[in-house]
Amino acid sequence: MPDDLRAALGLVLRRSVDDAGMLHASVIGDPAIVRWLLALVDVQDSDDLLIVLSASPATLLGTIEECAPLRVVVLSAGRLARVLMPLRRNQMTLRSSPSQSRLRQSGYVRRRHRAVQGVGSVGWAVGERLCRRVGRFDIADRCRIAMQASLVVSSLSAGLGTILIEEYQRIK
Amino acid sequence: MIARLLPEMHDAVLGLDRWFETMRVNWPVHGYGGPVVHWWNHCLEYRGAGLDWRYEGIIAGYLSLWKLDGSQTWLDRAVRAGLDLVAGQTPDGHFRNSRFEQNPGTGGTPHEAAADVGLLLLATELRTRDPARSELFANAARSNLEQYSFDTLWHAPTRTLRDGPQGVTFVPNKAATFIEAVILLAEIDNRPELIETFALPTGEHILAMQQRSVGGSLDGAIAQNRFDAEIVEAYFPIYIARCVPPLLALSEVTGDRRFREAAAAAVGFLRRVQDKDGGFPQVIYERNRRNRNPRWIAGAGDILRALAKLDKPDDVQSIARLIQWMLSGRRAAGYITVSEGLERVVLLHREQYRILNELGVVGWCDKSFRAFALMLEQRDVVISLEMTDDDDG
Repeated sequence: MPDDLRAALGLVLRRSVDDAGMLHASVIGDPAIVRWLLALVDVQDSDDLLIVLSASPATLLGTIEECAPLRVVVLSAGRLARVLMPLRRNQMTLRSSPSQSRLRQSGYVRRRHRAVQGVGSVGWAVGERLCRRVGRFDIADRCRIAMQASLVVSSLSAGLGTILIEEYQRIK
Repeated sequence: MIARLLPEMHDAVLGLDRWFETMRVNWPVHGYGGPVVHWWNHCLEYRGAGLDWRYEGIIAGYLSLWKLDGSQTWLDRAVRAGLDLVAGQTPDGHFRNSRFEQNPGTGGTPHEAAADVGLLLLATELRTRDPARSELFANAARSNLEQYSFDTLWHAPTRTLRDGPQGVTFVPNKAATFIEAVILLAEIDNRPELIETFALPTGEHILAMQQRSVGGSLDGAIAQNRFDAEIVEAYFPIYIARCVPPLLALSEVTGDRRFREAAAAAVGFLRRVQDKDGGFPQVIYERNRRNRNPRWIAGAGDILRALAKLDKPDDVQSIARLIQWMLSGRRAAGYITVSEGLERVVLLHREQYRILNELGVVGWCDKSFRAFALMLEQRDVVISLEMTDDDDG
């Protein structure tokens, strides 16, 4: 599992698992990513929470029309996905999510969002590669760890990353 | 000095046993679960059972305790751990979720070979007592070694155990774990050719990665890894320590003293880099650049096993300081904390990482458990060594 996706799935789970570490949700989307999530956590089917992992907008909208979950968590391509594509080692193409206004029409409002792999972590990754090239393994190792630590973008620039996690609440 | 610490080590082992029981989970298979904190990555989301190197220390530790006092409880715990691995084995020989800090997933290195070591230690102990179970455990290890290590990771043209199916990456400490498993399997199956085919060339590759410059600061250190011919000049004490017991075992089965000398040189390096408080730097780079953030506490058990492994440890005080360092990580729940100083390596995330230092991680605590249990099992040897050291002093 690529590190960025691992961090993103961690964010998806952080606010969704119960005290026993179990996830009560319905999960749809890219089969490979769904498989990863199901391997990460014990999932029990529930209609209250829908987790959408890089599904097409049509699939997402169709599912919420049909199931009307209370909460929807969406993992999709972030705004930097295309820009940073040439620099990334693990190039996994994620689908974009429907716009907020489109989801509002369906009765869902965005409560929070975070991004994964922003400019900071990419900068550390570039630093690591440069340091390894010149034989400074000591600094390269620190860059690598910093890259890992900064994968989840700070809340100040919460939307700027290659992967976007959004949480929607049903209002109708 | 070490003898005085034996009661504390005994308490620590009982505490760890108590805590291990609380870490038993039944998802996705029965086994020991919980979060993982490591150097590159952490695994905080997946907390299910991990069939990885934690089983090496758990099984070896319980077998030591069983040999110490004959209690059936310890043997039952070791057997239960072996059954976890058997039940969690996939048809292609892998163990489910064997990737430790990269869980979930299979094919973890050295984790699957380390699990094999645990299974083969059990198989060896049970050979006359419970032949059916012995065969069950041997079969599981054999299946993993043959299908994964021999058929997939082994690169025949260079006689190298690769770190993955692609490229020719060689990681000495992982290869050392493989040597240990091969030696045990060769003994159980009475197939000495396995040592010639796999263990010996692997040992040679490890020797080639060892710095030998008598009097030099890195003398005895073993480099972390190489990608094809490009060696990564980073020297991690814990990984160097993990090479020591397998090198000694290889020397014993082959009669080749070079492996024993290499192990002794590695231990010499470890003694030189030990900090005054008993801990060890995380990594030493060229020109003696050191990173002390973090310093492992529970995981230092593998260094303790290495320091205590040679027949006559030169410096009993070094061992005693290390034991005290490890005991300083004991917590009321029974576990030993992961590390000290993790928060200093990532300056912008201090609080988050400070908390990680304090976690109990089964795959690190098994190292303390195994080392302390071994010291208790060999308490007579430990005490006699100390007396020898006192006499010399």
